[in-house]
Amino acid sequence: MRTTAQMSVCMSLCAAMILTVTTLALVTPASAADPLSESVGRSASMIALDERIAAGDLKYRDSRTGEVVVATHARIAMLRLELAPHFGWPVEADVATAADGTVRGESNGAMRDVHVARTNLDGTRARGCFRDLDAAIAFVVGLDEYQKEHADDQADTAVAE
Amino acid sequence: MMKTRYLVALAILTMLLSPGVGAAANFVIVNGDGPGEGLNDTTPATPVGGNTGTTLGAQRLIVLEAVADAWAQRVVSSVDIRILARFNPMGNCNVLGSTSPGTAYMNFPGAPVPNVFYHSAIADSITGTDQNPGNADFFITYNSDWDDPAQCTPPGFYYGLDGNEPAGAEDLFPVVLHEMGHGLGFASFVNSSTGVPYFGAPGIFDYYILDMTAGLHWTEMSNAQRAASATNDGNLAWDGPNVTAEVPTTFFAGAMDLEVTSPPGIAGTYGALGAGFGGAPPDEMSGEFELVNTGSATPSDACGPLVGFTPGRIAIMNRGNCEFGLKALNSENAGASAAVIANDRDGTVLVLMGAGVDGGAVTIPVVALGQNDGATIEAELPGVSGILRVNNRLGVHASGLALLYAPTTVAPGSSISHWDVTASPDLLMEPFTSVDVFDQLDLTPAQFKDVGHTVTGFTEIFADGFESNDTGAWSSTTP
Repeated sequence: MRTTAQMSVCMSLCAAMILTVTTLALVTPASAADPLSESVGRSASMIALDERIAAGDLKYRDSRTGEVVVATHARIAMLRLELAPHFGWPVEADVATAADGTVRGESNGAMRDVHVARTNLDGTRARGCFRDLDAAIAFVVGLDEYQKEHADDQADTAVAE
Repeated sequence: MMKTRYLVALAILTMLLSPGVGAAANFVIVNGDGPGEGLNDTTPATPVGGNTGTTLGAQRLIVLEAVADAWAQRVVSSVDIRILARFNPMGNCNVLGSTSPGTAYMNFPGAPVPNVFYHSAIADSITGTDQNPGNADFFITYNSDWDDPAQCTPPGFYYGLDGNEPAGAEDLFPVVLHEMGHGLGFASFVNSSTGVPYFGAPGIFDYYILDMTAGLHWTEMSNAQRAASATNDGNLAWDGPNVTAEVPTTFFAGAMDLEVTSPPGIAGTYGALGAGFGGAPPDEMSGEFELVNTGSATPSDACGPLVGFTPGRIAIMNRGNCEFGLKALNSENAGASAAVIANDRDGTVLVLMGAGVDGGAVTIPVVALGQNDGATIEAELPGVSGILRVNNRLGVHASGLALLYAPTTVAPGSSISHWDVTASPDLLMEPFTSVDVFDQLDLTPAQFKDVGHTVTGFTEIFADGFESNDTGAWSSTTP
């Protein structure tokens, strides 16, 4: 088990590494893998998001200001920078076997389940739990809401008349 | 809206009356924050919603303790469960918090399943010894920026224990309840995008993930097979025996049949639909149907107390004049074993019925019937007998196994470590939090039992009110 001090140092170093690698990933060709995310290569979540950014029709509420903004590559890049340190940190786990055969695995902070919130366009709030950075970004900007609005398969639930 | 909070009376009673059941686990919240920050923040705070803390740090700690208390009612262990908790500024206003599993163990003495990793708290419970003495079993961290108006727009986190958060606030209690569920054992040890096990071998959670298409568990698959399986939407199920046993009493029905067995003139099968509230119907229930009578001008609408209803029969009534939830509640109060509500319009249309104001109090199965079929059956009453039969359940594979969340990647995915979003009623360990689910443990104790925890009785009782530290099962410490 790491001590608190060791973990703090590691957290700082690893966060710096993540930011560096993530920044590079932003300009990496679409087929490249982001080793810090559970998403391999250019995830379908990001492809779907790219399509909406290109169309210029995906709006969401900025989490700091509450203002409704249009999703752009710049905004998504900033969002990625903010969220990336919370996902998949660090990559490697430590595994060791004791004399009695017990195998011990130390996650070193990986496998985080991250709870994320957003304010919907109508002012209501939504929460989701993610291990995948791309999926979390797509959730924050309401890609699922966009898809829902454009789907015709929503069930009609009635409570009365 | 006043929301219910957990009440553990029956669980405690069950525990006390059941011979051989061990002691509730002692949860230890290890305060990982430094002086004056996070859980030690001395900013004055006004007690709110049953949280008696008078500083921000104290209120935060009380919420964590309350959640630990909720889990302590169900989780049994002779070894302390230690949770290292922190509130840190995270530099954004989207992340609420996170859980990391810390340490896991495989092939320890007495491990029920070889060659799979167990969460630390489970390994401790099985062996009766602390595998990692004095250290945390898992880690939880929450975003203190939510309480900093310079960073995030108020009102930020709500630290009440009553679910009455103001508009725009984030109720911390249900977030922590969900996240501690992950830390205790509701989590895969496999990267669902690559199929690669983090520790080199899968976990006990993965042992129970069954791909219904391949007919293989994740522990029987290659990395590539697991990665493909992770998006096998609607075909990835949990086949642990304890969860599976709970399926019929947990999940609401989707498509149903109402089979009339008597009289012969109308005998046959009529399509029906389970409601989104009430009790989960058993796979089959038979009985005699009785048309309700309220003694009013519209006697068969069940909008008032029923008159002369025969307890034990299946109540049949018509849509209209009041909410479905009230109709069902009036039927239940009259002793009906189930409520069948016939549509009053649209011929053959089946309505997906919501609870409305009163539906949350209904515990009997509630079923929708089409207008035409309802008229056919009602015309023969009294003297109609039959069977209500469940064809499928919402969130359950056709095989009867609970579904896990395995979205196609176009949809914003989460992790494999959740129940499927089609589950009805909503469950604590679904990936997207519902306002209806914030204080219930529902299927999670059964899942804990599958993965090796010892848990107390399975009957849930919820009611208003928070009982602090009612078993003395939690404590806090600073390292």
